[in-house]
Amino acid sequence: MRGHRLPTLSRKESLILELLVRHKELYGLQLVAESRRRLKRGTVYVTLQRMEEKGYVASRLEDAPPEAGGLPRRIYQPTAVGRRVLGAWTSAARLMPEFAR
Amino acid sequence: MTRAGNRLRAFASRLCCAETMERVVDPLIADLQLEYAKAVHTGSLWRSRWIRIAGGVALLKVIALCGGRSAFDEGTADEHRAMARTITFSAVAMCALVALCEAPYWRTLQLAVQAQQTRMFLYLIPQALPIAFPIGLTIGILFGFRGRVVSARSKRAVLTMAVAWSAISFAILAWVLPAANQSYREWVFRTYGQITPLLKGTSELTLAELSGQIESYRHTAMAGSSLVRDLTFSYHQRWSLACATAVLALFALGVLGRRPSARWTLGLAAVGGCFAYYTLLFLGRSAALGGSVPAFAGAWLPNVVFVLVSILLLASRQSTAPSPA
Repeated sequence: MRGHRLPTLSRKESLILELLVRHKELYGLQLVAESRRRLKRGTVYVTLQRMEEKGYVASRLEDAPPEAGGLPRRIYQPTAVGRRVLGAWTSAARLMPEFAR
Repeated sequence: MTRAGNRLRAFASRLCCAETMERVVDPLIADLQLEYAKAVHTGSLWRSRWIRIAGGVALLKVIALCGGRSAFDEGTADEHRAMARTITFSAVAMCALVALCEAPYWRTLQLAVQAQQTRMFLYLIPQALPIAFPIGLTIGILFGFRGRVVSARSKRAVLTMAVAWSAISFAILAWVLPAANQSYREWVFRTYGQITPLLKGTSELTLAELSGQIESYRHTAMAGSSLVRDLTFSYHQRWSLACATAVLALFALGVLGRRPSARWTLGLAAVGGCFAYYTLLFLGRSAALGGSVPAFAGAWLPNVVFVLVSILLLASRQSTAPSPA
């Protein structure tokens, strides 16, 4: 099994995936709002970048509304890999509650 | 007027790589701009101001996280070894310094153990930490990077680590140390049968309490008294000492040369630098309490001097660096 690392999912990553699966796609600040303060705006973007590198989420750019202007927003959605990893971790957590902690 | 977040973006672009800008900073700024535009549109002046502040804080956090991550993840094997050596040397030096600072209280500690009050030992530790952090990290940096060329990435990693230690130091000086000091005094007085609670001295006041006391004396006849000077100096010293870790880390990076240095040279630089820092702090304190200089000037004197010396050292290294062939 050398060279094959099991996918890992931190608590924040798991929360982000849960929210993305529930809402289909969200941008960073919506994730912070939906998480009820469990995600912070200073760390959510770094976590999303790491999750994108792991292949758990994908993103696309969307132009800002013309009346607001500014930079295009990055919108995130879960990938098939992300959904599978979340499913596996949720099942494992259900079977072994101490594993979830 | 510039669009909200444009200045923050320009600032971040100086410190972050293109990928971090695209994947982390730009999404943050885009969300900030949209949130700000919504707040302005609804006429929420205070909310729009709050969004700018929160966005700035979030961006600083992102820069710190990305800076640390890129330095630790992307560095070469030699850079990783040097960082590991720095952390190890710093940890050993910090533990030794804490033990050294606790030594005068050895008899009290023995009494505490006899009375089964071993947690008293914990009350004495916070007073040693704001001294142990800057000296320990300075020694760690000088010996961790001994004989190596310190890359820009390593410098960023070291400074990120130093700023983190400074933040911890600030929390200790502002809240933990006053509470620990007061608990320790009350325990000693209880041991000798005195009535507690005790009135707090200057060292036992938190930052907010110090500030409150200074304010209460501001418009009274006591305003220029030695008591108020002592309180004001103590207030500024808490901030200044918290920055000592970052300032001495900068000094250590300035001292590290391009050529391998002997252990004794680095040892001398570490001891001499720290000794000079605390001598300046002592002189600043004497001058401030004597009324010769304002309290904030006395407290910040060592930091100002050491930042200037560090900048000169770093600039001289750059000017003497050999140009690429």
